[in-house]
Amino acid sequence: MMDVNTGLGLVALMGAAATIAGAAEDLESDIGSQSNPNSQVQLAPQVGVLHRIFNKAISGEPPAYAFYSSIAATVAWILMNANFNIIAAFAIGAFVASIFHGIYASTAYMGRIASQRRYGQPIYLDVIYNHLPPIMAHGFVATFCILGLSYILWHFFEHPFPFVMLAFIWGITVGAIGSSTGDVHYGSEREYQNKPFGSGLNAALSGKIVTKAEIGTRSSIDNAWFCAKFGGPATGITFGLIVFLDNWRTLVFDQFMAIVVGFVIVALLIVANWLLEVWARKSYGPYPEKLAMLEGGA
Amino acid sequence: MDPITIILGLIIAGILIVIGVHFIPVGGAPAAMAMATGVGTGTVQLATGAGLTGLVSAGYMYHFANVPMSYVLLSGAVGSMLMLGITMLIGNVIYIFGVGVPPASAKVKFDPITKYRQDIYVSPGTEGQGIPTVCFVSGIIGAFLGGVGGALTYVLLNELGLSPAISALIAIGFFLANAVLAAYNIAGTIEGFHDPKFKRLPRAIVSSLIVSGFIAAILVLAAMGGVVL
Amino acid sequence: MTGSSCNAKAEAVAEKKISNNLIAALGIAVPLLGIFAASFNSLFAFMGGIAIIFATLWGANGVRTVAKYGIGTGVPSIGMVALGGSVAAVVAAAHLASKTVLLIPVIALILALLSGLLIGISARYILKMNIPVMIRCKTEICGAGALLILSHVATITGSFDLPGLKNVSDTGIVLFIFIIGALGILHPYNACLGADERQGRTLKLSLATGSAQVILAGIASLYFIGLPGMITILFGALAWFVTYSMFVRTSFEEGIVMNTGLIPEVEHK
Repeated sequence: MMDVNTGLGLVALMGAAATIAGAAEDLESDIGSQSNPNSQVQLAPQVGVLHRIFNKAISGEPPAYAFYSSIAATVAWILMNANFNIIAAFAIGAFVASIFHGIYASTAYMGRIASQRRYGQPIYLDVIYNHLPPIMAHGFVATFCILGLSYILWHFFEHPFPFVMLAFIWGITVGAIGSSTGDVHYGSEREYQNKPFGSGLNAALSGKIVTKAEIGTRSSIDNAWFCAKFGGPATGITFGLIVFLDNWRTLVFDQFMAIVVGFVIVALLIVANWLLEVWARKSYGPYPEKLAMLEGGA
Repeated sequence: MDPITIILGLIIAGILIVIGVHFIPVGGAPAAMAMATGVGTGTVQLATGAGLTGLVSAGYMYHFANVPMSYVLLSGAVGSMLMLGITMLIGNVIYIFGVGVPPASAKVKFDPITKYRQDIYVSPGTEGQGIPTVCFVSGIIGAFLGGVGGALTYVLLNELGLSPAISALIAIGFFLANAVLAAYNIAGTIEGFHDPKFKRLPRAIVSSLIVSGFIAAILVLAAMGGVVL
Repeated sequence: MTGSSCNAKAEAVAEKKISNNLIAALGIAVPLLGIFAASFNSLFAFMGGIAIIFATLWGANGVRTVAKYGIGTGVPSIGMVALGGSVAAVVAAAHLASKTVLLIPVIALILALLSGLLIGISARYILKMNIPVMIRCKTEICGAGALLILSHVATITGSFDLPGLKNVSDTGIVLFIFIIGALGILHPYNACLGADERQGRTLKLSLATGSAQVILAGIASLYFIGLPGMITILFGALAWFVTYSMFVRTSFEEGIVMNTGLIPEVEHK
């Protein structure tokens, strides 16, 4: 075992890498319009709203990120065994992964939009050319950081799982986190920015997404600009906290105490969520429409 | 360990995973637009993310010498709970500060745990939004069960004499198969143990029993029965 | 319906369907032969690439058939269960038949088909999902998943026996196989989903994702079998270029392609 100070430094580094990975992952999925909010982009032409937004239906984010991370990890691992510099190996691995990311993203856009012919939605070639580079670049950053934190866990903390497997698992995790936290900001707020703040999407308005920008037509790259202000960093903090807290407790405490500390953290999370809920209920109050309906019915 | 115990253990693990998935509040695609209560992603996706994070913790714990099995299982559970707990908390932060909606459930009039009134806080035209306390607690229970199930699979396969890597691989596959069965039963969205859909749980348990039993049987037959052909 | 004039065009591009049985037959026979050929000599490892492409074709067609009904959990979960349900079958088969190696793919296929059948039956009758093709498709998808894993193992290590499987597992590359296989199967239908989805185009994309997997398997095989892996990469790259161009051409023929431009006006209902 290494001494605790070095270990803490490494855990902090893992947390930092995870934070960057989470933020880049979320912004990438906003540029590509992936995962659940994409259901609205998919629905839009059907309700008569044509758009110039990317439609990157590679799959849900968890399998997609497991895909990029495993490709990158495999390539990096082969290069590491050929005595490559580790950082260079990560960079080449992440580069190969981002190429495959781009290939799959382009087929998803062409395939999905070609299947919407009857609604008159065109395939814009410039949308493909403009969006692929930022998608691949954000994917590169996320994958590179995931490789870094998997390597620290595997090499320095001697985790029994192989390097590629750890990258796969963290890929699944970062995808699950990105699609459950940051994507909400994109789906509920950015896609329906013309609707009043403080309301969920009324089911009757499904698919009527915003397609106009401040000037001209909205592109998905504008969405990253918006989500980088809140959704992206929040996703990064989530993934960073998970990686940091989970490894910190096993490093600092012995086996029994690590479990106890874990339970304590979970209890604190429940309390924090409750306080947040109480705050929100107090500050926002009930919806006037609902109260009116209640009085009208009574 | 004798083969029967391992088969039974694997079946229990499968059932734990299936039950755990039913506890996790997922709103599917609608929740990403704040149209439904729960986490805004798919059932399988979220459960797998939590379960595999637990598997990393459990695998790390199992790697120490002379660790009681209960520690490994609890470690898996804690890993899953941490992942899901933090995800749900920050998810709520986004609902509250990014979208501006208070968390509320549309399936019950009063939160069974906090007794808070729910229906007047549901945004008009939606099926609720965010993760109120009852869903949060339900999710934590689900992550606990899923984490234990995943860790139990991993431990039992190791006991069967498979290498850590193969054990983890099969544990991942086993987790996915069971989570997908549960997801088919849920069909889209569930809020937690207070949701009426939760009553469908027995059907998922039976199907998990069959599928897990078959997978456990062929694995034990192969690893213990040795070379047949 | 809006745009009824467009419907005529959509029907015009609709063509006769390739039968599921033909694809299943190809999806079983070609991968089995390919796996055997790949293990013959490491120079022939690229034959495993053909196996990968056809196993992907079979799996993708199965996903397409069942996912058309709308399952409520999205396409990806179907693809993930394909591989999830078949890893245990592959590991068990590799243990069971470690003396007669040639039987491994056959036993793995049978065990995977059985576990797929069980998943299908429980989904159809116990979980009461009202999808008639559920059982057949789950069976097919799991079988394709098992053949896909073995094709990858054969391509990457040049053998498909227990040591070969142990090699890829202990390095963790089996997870890489798992996920590229799962995405290869689920991506084609997921990427073409929509009102005007057509079997021909989806299957062309499945050939392209299959070939992309061959390139990746070739890269991984450089570690295990060295230079002959380059043959696999070149073969995969060639196959990918051809199939990807086919897919792009078909998409451009069937979709409305614009270089750039503003959003066209449509009449609202």
